[in-house]
Amino acid sequence: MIRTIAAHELRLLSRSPFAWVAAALTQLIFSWLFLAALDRFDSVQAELAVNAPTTGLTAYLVVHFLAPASIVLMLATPLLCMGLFAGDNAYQRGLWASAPLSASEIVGGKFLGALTFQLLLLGVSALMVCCLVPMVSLDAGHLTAAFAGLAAFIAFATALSLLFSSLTQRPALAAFLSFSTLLLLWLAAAGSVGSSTAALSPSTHLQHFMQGLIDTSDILYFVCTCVVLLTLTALRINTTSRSLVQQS
Amino acid sequence: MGADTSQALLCADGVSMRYGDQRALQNIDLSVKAGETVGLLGLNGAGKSTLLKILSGVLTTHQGHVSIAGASLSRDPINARRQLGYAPDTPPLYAEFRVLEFLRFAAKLRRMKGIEANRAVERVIELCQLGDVQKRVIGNLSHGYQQRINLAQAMVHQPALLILDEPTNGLDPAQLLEIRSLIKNLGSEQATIFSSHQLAEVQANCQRVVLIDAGRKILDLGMDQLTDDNYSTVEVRLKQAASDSDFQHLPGFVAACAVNPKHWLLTTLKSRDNAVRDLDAGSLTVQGVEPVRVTPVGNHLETLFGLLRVKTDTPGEAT
Repeated sequence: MIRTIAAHELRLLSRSPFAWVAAALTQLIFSWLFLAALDRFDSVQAELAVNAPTTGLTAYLVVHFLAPASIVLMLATPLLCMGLFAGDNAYQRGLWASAPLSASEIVGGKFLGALTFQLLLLGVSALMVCCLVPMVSLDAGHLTAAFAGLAAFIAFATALSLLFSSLTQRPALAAFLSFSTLLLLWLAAAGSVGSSTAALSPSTHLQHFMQGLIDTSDILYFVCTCVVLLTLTALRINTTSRSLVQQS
Repeated sequence: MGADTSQALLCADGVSMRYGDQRALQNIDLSVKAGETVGLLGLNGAGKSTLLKILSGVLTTHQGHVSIAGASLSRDPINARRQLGYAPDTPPLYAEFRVLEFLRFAAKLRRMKGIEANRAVERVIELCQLGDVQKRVIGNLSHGYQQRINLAQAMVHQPALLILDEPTNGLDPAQLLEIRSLIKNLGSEQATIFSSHQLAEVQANCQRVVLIDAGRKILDLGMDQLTDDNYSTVEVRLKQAASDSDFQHLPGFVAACAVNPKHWLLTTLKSRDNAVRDLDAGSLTVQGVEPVRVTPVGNHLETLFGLLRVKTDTPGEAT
């Protein structure tokens, strides 16, 4: 059932002009970041060889392409996911509510559908990096860790956006709240390295992936936060029938 | 008063609902048997849609209990929802989908798989005459076609109970006749409950009528009891307010329906020895209620509906 719902969400996203515009803009920015990183690496290569000989193209791409890409995703994910629940009108919600489905199936399906769409976008940016393989030698392990980190971050942002989408019937408000929360969590790490608030921030954990480290505690962080956020969404969906009463 | 639960496919017991401080439904009992078509009649805002949303599991009742084919909607919602198909008054469609694609999705949502789902979709496409438009995008279709898709998605898994909220809303006369015949031709194993604010609609399609006014069930009678010569109905205006229980001991009492506490419609079964006699002022006085006027009524439902309209249009009329 989760697969059916995921396929439905994927189909809805693939037919939404807004999703295509958001996806195209995201890809445009990714491409620009990628080309700019290559161009800059070309111009500073000699300088790097003297000042930081350990910094190769892989590390340079991670810092100047993949790390900024995570900031772009922080904006793109709430936009792509804002309509997952909030985009359904009262009658479409009735269709879901009268079907023999559990809240966890609905939430799981919608989460997987939106995640797949965004992982496809991330896949395109991975292809950009793969294009370099015939020409230069890249550190596959470091890049894999960085892309795995981005995938985990997308999953986290999708779960958070799904929760906010279930809390309101206004997609724009859902996107705004998701983005604000992601930004707040991101900034929580900036000013307080090593503190407990930094440990709660996804950027702290993403940073380790970007350094090429796949740490169990970072994986646990993303898995646990996703589970908690999805559980909260499922609980919200279970009580939606009561809130529908107040809203109608 | 509890719902008659013997062999009931749908059983609603003491269903109440509030919108904030406003009572939307008050203590509604309802039971529907297999093969029965029940019309839920009421003016706009009477509470029909709210009741149907509760019966279909879309809304949770504040008080009371609903079960479908023995499965409780609150305790065993998945099994209860397997038994029902719900078509809301506005079709819950995804405009960007093609008809076939949407119906396949609707079938899969009802846990049908592969060939079973495909066959079910083919069946409803034929039943709802959607063959010509099955490959078209839903958003480009007329309201009539969208209403048919709405019915098709509700029927795709052959539910034991079909709940239709104003299924003929916005249809032209030809489409209206088609939908009427579709509802009439539903299987004898399937129970249907549908709402309407059109009297003719209910009279044409139903074996039983339930009338709702201001969130209260004020009438629940078989169509035969409303039209048959064996039953007699009188409109009674009283000097003082009365309640249901004041009429329970009338000879042949079937139903009492309040327009307001001093204004009632009473239905009784005429005596078997064919001593045809409408309820009169004398028999009422014997029961301790003092009538001001007793008027025999030809068509119970039409009269009651007319009186409810008058009550709604005249705010001064006490209820």
